[in-house]
Amino acid sequence: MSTTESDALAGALEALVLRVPGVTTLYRSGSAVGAVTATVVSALRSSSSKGDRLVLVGESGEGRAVTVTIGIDADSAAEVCRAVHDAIADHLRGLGLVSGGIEVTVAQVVQ
Amino acid sequence: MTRDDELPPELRRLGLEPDDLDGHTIEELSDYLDADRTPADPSIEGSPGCQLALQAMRRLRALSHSLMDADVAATPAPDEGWIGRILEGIALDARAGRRIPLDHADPTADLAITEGAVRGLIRAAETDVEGTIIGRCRLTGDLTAPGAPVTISVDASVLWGENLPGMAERLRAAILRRVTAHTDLTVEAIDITVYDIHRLSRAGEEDRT
Repeated sequence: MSTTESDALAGALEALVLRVPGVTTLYRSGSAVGAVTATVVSALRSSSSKGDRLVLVGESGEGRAVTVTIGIDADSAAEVCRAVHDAIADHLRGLGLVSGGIEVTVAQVVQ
Repeated sequence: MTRDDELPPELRRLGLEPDDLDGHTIEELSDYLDADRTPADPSIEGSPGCQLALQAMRRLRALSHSLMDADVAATPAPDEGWIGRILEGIALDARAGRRIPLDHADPTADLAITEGAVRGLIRAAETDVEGTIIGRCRLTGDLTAPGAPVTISVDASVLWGENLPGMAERLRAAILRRVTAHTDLTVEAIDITVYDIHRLSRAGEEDRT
C-alpha cells in the first residue's frame, strides 16, 4: 500500500470513527501513552488535514493494522469501543482489505 | 524518572512531573479555564490528560462557589491545603497509565480504556453524592489481565454533618455503577478514606450551625 493510499484510508477511517455514536473526539494515537499532542479533531469537524492523520494505518504481516484513540460521551465506553472496532473492520472488509489488527483505545469519557 | 529537586517549584509542590499533563501544569490549565479556553490551545485540547484534568477542575470550581470559608467558627476549620491536595489528585489521576483491556468476540481485536480515563469516571462519581469531592483515586491489581480482581481506593472530602458510613456507601455504589457501565473490570473492593470535612452553602439555605 502506497503512502497516498494509506493516507486516504486513514482519512476515511477518521471520518468513519467520528460518525460512530458516542465518539466525541479523535486523539492522535500515541497520545494516550504520554506523547505530546498537537492536533485534535472533534466530532464537530470532519477530519484532520492530509498528512496530519490521527488514525494510524500501517502494515502488519497479515494485513492492515489500524490504531485509533478516542474520547467518548456515552453510557458505555466498552460498547462504543466495540462499535468503533466493528465499523473499522467492516470498512476494511468492504474494501477487500485484510485486517492485520485493529487497536482502539478510549482515552477520555466525558462526564 | 525526574529527580524531585530538578522540578519547578509548582510541580514539586504537587508531586508532578512535566509529562503528567503532556508538558502543561495545573496552573496553566487553571489559567486556561479562567480565559474560557480561548484562544484554543491545540496542545491542551489534543491531550486526553489535560481534558480529564479540565473536566475535574470544572466540577471542583462549580462546587467551590458553594464552599463556605466564612461563618464557620462553630465548625472544624477546613485545612487550607485541601484544595491543593484535590488539584494534586486531579493532575496525577489524569495520567494515561495502563491500558485496561475491553472484551470483544473477535480475538484479534485490541480494545482498551486507559487507566486515566477510568480514574476520571471514578472521580466523576462525586457528582452523585452532593458535597463530596474526590481528592485522588488509585487502582490496585493487574489491570491488564482480563477478569483479575481490582481494588479501587479513593480519598474524599465530604460535607460537614454528613453521616459518614451512609455517604461512603452511596459513593461506593456510584463508583461501582460507573465502572461497571464503562469497563469490564472485576471490582473486588472500593476503599474510601475521608481526609477532610467541608461546608457547603446551598442557595436559600441558612448556615446549619
